Amino acid sequence: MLTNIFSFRICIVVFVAIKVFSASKCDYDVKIAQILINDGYHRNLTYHIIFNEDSESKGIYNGCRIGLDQYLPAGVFVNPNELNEFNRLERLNAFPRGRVNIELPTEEAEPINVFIISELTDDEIQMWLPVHARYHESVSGGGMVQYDIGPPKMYLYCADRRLDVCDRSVSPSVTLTCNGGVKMCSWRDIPYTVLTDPLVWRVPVGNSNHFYIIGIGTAFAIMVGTTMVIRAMHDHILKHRRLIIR
Amino acid sequence: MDRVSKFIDLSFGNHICIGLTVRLVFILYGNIHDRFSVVPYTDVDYKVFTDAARHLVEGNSPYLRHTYRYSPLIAYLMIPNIIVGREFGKILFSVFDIFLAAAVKSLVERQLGVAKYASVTAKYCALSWLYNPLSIGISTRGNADSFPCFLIVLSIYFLQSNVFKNSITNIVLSGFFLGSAIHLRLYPLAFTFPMYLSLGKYKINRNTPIKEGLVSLLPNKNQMILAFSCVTSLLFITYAMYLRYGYEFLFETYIYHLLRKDTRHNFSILFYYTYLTKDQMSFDIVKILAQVSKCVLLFLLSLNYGCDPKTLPFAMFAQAVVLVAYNSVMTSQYFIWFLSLLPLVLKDFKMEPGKIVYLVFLWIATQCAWLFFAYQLEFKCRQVFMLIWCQSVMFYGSNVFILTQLIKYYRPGYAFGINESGKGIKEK
Repeated sequence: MLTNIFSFRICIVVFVAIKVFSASKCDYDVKIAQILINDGYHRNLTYHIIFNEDSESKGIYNGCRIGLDQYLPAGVFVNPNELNEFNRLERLNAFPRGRVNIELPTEEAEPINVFIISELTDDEIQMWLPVHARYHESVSGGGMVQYDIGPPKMYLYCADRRLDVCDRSVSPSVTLTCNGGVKMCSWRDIPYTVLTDPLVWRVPVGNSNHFYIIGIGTAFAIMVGTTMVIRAMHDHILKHRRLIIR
Repeated sequence: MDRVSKFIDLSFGNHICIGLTVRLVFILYGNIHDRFSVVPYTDVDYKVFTDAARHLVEGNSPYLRHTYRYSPLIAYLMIPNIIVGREFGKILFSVFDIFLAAAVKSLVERQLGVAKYASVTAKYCALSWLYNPLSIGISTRGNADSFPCFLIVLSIYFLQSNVFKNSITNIVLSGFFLGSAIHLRLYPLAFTFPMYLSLGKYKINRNTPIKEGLVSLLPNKNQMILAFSCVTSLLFITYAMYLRYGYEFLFETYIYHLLRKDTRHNFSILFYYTYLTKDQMSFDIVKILAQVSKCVLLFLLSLNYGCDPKTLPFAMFAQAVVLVAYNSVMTSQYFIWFLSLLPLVLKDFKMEPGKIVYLVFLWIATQCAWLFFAYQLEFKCRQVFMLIWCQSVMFYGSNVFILTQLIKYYRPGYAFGINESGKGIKEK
């Protein structure tokens, strides 16, 4: 009888402990600030991510891996070779999902998804991704075109399966690469709060109304230049024939 | 001034050491610069070569590296970048720079023959390459063009100097290096015509009978040897690469460059026009005009200056300027095409120092003006396409104007105006 009561109390303690621990893990108090730094066609997409800022459950994801799946519109791309270089130097672990042609203009390019992975060692983490804008087809009147970059999807993967107790309706499982290789892992899709506005990247475009003036101006400059060289050759040969011709 | 004179009077061996040291310092600087600056010092293509070499080391094709558009030979040369250290290629290109300077000195000496001032004139020519900031910048940033440029100078060297007693050997070697250079880059193809012409003997004037004129146009033995060795080496190397890497090699190395449609901003006068049309017009009169103008100028330069060995380097230099100025894509790496030939003709411009300074200033100023607006576009996203086009026209104009001035002041045999004692300047 006494043993049964003792076992029952242990069960309750364990159950409460699991409930409290899993509740703190599965609350997913995650905030993200997404910023584009630098100007021009080559920029850095940075993410400042904070876990459990307002709770006391500090460091509960330490040792887990965070993955960001960033959708980029057709006008924005990552350079796979640049990412490989950063991966090799262990400054970044990111790779496009699918092929990227870095030379195509916006109209011929496809949107891409990029997966960025990092180890969690703290409740705050900075992640970044070098991104580039494509040239856009000229439009009447010129001006600027706008590329919108939305927030990424966020995933967590803990090798010790500590997230397995979390409710899958809140954070569904997704099978994605473990660390960029062929090995696949079951990641958890994590809900989060975005602290910043959606990103807008404005890129200049040529003015198609300039076609005739540019065409005529270019042709005229070429004709004048070619005539100048031919005339210089002619004058030089006439003047210094003895020096040039044997 | 005295110090400058003393510096110039150092032996050529010392200059070679200083030239190499300067390049090594810049390579070191580039390494540090790249760690901190948003705008890297290292040429973007250097990373491409290195990645291609990594594919080779892993037993794959260098063309697995997207945007690798060179002969596999470049990737083979870059293999030590993976095995030894990533700066190896830059050091190798700098060594080609040094070899080129040595070849220039030797070639100019042989061109000037027994003249007492030959050595000092040749040294000045070589130093103009050795300490040229652009040549230092281009090779230490990791641009591979110093390699084909070196092969072109070697080709002229063997064509115009009797390194071997047997003249056939010299011509065969000249053809071999020219063919190798064409394999690496297509543009030296334009040099084949003046080089071929320079081996002929033409005595055609208005009194020459037609039959005699036609006979004199038939290729002689030396011309046939040059053509044969050039074509053979080009085909041999190209076929060997084709066997190993197939059509992908042919497309990426040659066909791509012929069909290239790069609409992104560059120095070319055709840039904004290409961007606006997307290069998709079935009959493009402006592009045809540019191509025809270029071909006409290349042909006329060959005829006017290519028929005499004495003026051959000038013909090739002027052709290189035309090739760059009329190209539909022009970046600063292309300048090495004509800059590498400039030391061979520099001695023959009878020009006031003030005029030289003015031309150099004009070339740099129009380039800087273009770069300013290109920076505004690329790094600040300012809508300045029209201004970039205006600067492209200005830069084209300055290239053409400088070429006309160089033609005007070209005096073969002038040799900096240094007299027989090697000190004074010839009276004008």
